[in-house]
Amino acid sequence: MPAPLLSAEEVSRIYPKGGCTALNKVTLSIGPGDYVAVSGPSGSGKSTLLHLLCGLDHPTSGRVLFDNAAPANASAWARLRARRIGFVFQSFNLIPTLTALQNVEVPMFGVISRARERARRAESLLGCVGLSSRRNHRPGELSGGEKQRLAIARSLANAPDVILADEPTGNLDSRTAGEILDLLEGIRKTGGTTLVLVTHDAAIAGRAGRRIALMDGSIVSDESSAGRRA
Amino acid sequence: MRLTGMALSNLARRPLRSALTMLGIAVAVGSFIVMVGLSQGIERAWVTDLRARGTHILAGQKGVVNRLNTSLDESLGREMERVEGVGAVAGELGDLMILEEDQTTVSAGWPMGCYLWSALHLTEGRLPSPGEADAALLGEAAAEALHKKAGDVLLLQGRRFTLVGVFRMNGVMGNSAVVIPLGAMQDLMQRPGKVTGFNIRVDRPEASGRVAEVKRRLQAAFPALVFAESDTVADDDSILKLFRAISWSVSAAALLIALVVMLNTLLMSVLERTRDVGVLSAVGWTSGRILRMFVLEGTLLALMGGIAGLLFGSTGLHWLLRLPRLRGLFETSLSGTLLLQVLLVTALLGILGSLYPAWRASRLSAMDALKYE
Repeated sequence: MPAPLLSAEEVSRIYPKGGCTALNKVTLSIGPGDYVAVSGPSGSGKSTLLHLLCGLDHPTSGRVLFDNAAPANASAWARLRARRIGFVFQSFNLIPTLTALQNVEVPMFGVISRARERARRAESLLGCVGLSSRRNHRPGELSGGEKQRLAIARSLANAPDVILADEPTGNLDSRTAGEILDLLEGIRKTGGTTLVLVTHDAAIAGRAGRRIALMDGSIVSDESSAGRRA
Repeated sequence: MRLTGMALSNLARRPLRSALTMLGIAVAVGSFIVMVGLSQGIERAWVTDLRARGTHILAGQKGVVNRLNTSLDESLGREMERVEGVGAVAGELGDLMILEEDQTTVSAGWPMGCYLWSALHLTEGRLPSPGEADAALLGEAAAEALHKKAGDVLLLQGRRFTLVGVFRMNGVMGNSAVVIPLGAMQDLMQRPGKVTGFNIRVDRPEASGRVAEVKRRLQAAFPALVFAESDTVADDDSILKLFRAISWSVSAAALLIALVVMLNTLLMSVLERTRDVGVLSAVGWTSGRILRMFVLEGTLLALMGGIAGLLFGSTGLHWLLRLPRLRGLFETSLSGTLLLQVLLVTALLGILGSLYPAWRASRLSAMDALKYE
């Protein structure tokens, strides 16, 4: 069994305001190339888990490891997000004043030093997601599906080891949602990228090789196509 | 895209607000240019005038603020000539006068036959003859402004003088001056036998330390007077010191206001772009990079305002110095050093004004920022 790429050890997240426990001693590990769907009802802790796995949020107790090491601080997590973790949001979170091409270039600052090289790579990624013709359009001029394709291209900016996608189809119609899932799965297949997908849709979760179900901040099931894990 | 391009694109997000902030900075920098330009302009005009006359040392009364109000006995000049190293001494009774057409001019009375007359390059007419009490010479620029030529009548404080010649000198002050014989000036000013200062020419001034050495001797011989080398005469002049202090204070206040305007603009910008800051953090920007981006925005904003201010200021200064009341007293050229200083101060203003907003942006929690509506 390969060493895990991402793992959580007894991770809890309690929000100080109101003392709400979003995650309660969650332990899991995700290997390189895995396709994992995290599902559960609203408030079950899916998004919190995803945010903890990329260092956007920090656990109240327990620890998160990336490549078997716990990043020391926020800057170390930021560097990991820049180079090895791609993140796709439900609400796209594109920068409205920048063009599609520039939005894809944003994560490359600090990783690719030459501006021309950044632009060249961004053009290539826009081509991969079928947005070459929209390179000079701003997010406000794109459809929902195009925005999410753009967000996916941005998440691929620095060829990450893992893509964390938080309800990536949540704001899309079913046909566009299917296209987006196909795109993410295609990227995973061709690049060997690990894909962790948060969804509350059982049909989408069913497409993943491994399905983790959360309820009230705890893992209630962890199944893979090969068999049940927990 | 470079970081600079991204910063410019962020500034273009609120074009009116950015333009107004730039305008505020431009007005502050423009005021700075005008005030400091005027202060430096009068100093440069004076020094240029003294050099053109061939004066190495200027003597005046000690402890007075306005040297034009002083009265020294003109006979002191003969005593100064006896000091070793002094080549020639010319007493001078000077004042500022308003001529026709509202033209302010430096008016000077010089003893007939003194070395100062030889510094005048006549473009028309002649020098006054000995004993010719109502003769006057006018600088070329003043003659042009007043539409006067040799042979015309010139009224000085209501007294009629005959313009016997027009001269050219190096420097705006000399070219706008009126010169009459010392006796006539003493009559006009009702200060018989008095002068406001002495122009001193040093023998062999090119020898190293020679002028400073003669100045020391003069100072020792005449402790009640103050002696200044021509090149540094403006540094110790009380009125110019006061003018300099006012110029810098007004400029500093204007720049401080610009700093506050910019601080406000960038704080608003950080607040509006809280979500974008969260996105930058989510895609891997470190707090240091986020800080640098906001500082760059502030610096670019300040520099753009600064360049506009340089244009406003230098245009305003040139316009001001065309006014009859001012044109004969100030050199108009702005020194490259001053322009560089202004750009540096503006860049510093940008950095200072953006540091706090940038620090706030860099300290935002990514999760809180992403939730911001």
